[in-house]
Amino acid sequence: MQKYEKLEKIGEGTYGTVFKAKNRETLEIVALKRVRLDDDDEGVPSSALREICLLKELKHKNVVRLHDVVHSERKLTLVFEYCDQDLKKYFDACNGEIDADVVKSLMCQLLRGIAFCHSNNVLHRDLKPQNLLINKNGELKLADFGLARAFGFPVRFYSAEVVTLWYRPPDVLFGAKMYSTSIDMWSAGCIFAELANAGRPLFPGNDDDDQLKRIFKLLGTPTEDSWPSLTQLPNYRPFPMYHVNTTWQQVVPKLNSKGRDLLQKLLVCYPPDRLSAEDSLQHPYFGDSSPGPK
Amino acid sequence: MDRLSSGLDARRVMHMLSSNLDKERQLQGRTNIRFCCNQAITEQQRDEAATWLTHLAAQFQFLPETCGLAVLLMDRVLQLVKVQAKYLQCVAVTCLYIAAKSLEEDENIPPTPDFVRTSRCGCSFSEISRMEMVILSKLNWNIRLPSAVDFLHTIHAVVVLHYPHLLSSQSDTSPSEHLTVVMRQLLRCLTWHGVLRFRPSTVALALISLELEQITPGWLRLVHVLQRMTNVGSEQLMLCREEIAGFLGQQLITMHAHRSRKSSSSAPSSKKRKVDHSVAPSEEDNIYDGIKRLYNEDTVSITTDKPSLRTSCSLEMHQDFEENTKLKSQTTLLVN
Repeated sequence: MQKYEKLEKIGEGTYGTVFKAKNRETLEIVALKRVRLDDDDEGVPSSALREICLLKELKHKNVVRLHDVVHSERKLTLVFEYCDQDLKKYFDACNGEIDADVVKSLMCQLLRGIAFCHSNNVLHRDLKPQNLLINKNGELKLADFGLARAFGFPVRFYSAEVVTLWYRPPDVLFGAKMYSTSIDMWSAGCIFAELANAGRPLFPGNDDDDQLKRIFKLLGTPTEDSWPSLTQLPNYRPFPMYHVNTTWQQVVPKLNSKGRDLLQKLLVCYPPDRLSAEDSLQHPYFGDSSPGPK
Repeated sequence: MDRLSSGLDARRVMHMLSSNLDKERQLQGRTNIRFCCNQAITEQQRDEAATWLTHLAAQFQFLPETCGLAVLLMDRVLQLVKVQAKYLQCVAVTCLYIAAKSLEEDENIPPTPDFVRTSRCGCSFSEISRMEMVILSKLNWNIRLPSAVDFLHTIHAVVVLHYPHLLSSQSDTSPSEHLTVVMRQLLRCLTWHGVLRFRPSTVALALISLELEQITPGWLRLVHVLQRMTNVGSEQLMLCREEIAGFLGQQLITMHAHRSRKSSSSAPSSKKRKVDHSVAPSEEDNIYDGIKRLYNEDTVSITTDKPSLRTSCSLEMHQDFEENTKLKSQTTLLVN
């Protein structure tokens, strides 16, 4: 690791410490994620292994770039492109005010990153502001693929122990193990609302039950009619039929009507009806800038 | 086009098929070394190691794709590195561990000490750890390789989507039962070095074409369509079909002989070789539960709470599958 001069510690990732560092030759600033390898442990942690082999293939400007993997005695160092901050810190610094154009730009980049992952058959499964990096040019990048996985054919039963609570979709909260790309789209919807409200989380639940209550109070409690086979989900339990008395205007007051329409199409309880990333990018909210995945 | 209950449609399947074909092509371009050039491992030793791997994968109830990837990784390593026979088991078991870590969910991967103990691989965990780093660096961390198992899944899905009546109208066999049978054959073929000279996509298509020949007189036309989709040449396909038909046919004979004599061979790997057609029908029903859903054979379209729903390699390989319902204490990995 002589190649890099360590500058400062940035934070702790899912499975290792992250440092800011400088490439001594090129003077390029990078982020180093260090993973300890203990002989008596699991070897290369599965989260690190998945992150490396998935990111090696995911090269897109809205996905954090993995430059290199360096193996040295008892540790593994992942060399990433450096980004100044994550969306969480960005929220903290914005003083409750984010320009509508910036909201649109960040949301568009988030969706492009997700669309790219999904078209490469990768589910992120932990989208949240802390895992979205923003560099000084305002470019947003998906990061921390420690919980990500490839999805394929046929659809398998996956872990229901995924996605941070506030961004976890109702089907997974009910223990659904057969999910696909819709899992990330719910998180995208939550993040969209949070962007529009300059960092105020949409569903800051305390536990699974509280989380579902908050969701159903806004969207209405789903029934077998709106969500076929709902009651057969592994951890299904009945909830009161909440009377919806909050309008979307109240939820995201600063978001325009097209934006509200997109948000409503992402925050759909029944997974197959949730808008895909590709379709979201075609939504009128993005207007003429008509992005489309690159 | 028919939309599957999972929301995966024909476009999605074709996309997956073509991206896997792309990857396969890139891989072929980089290395086209035949197995055994300058290799200290004999073909027979390789086959024993592959057989052992499929049994281990079954024992751990890993997915067929995990098993497929493990064998593929092992063969890649044997292509790239000269491995001494005494390290073959360590290489093999490490490839299985890598495949499991990349494809299985964490809750399905046994804790390391259990993995080492159960596999009876004869190497310590630190040896596996060291081997893991060697293999990952040798492969440059490119371990998302499409195996024949992946191709079988996608090509089979193409057939079911485009010719929905073909598989259902011919016999009592449903698409998922049908896939189970072919998958079992494929996992057996992976233990035969004869198929190593063919691309994984060719192996999968050859097996499917053999199967189609059995069930429909129009098989040849259908296979031509699939050949165009997968870019598999006729000569390669024919050679591969012969290789597979020969191997599977011969295997049936030796298995029968094996069974009647009830002898166990000296190879540790062959001790547990099972004959698949003795799987009880009730167990067959559970096989590919996920696929049943996928093809709408099941009315329930999301999930149920049966703990043993995983489609595992064991179901394809083992007759003595014991329902292993030890529910691991589920810890919430991520709460804010």
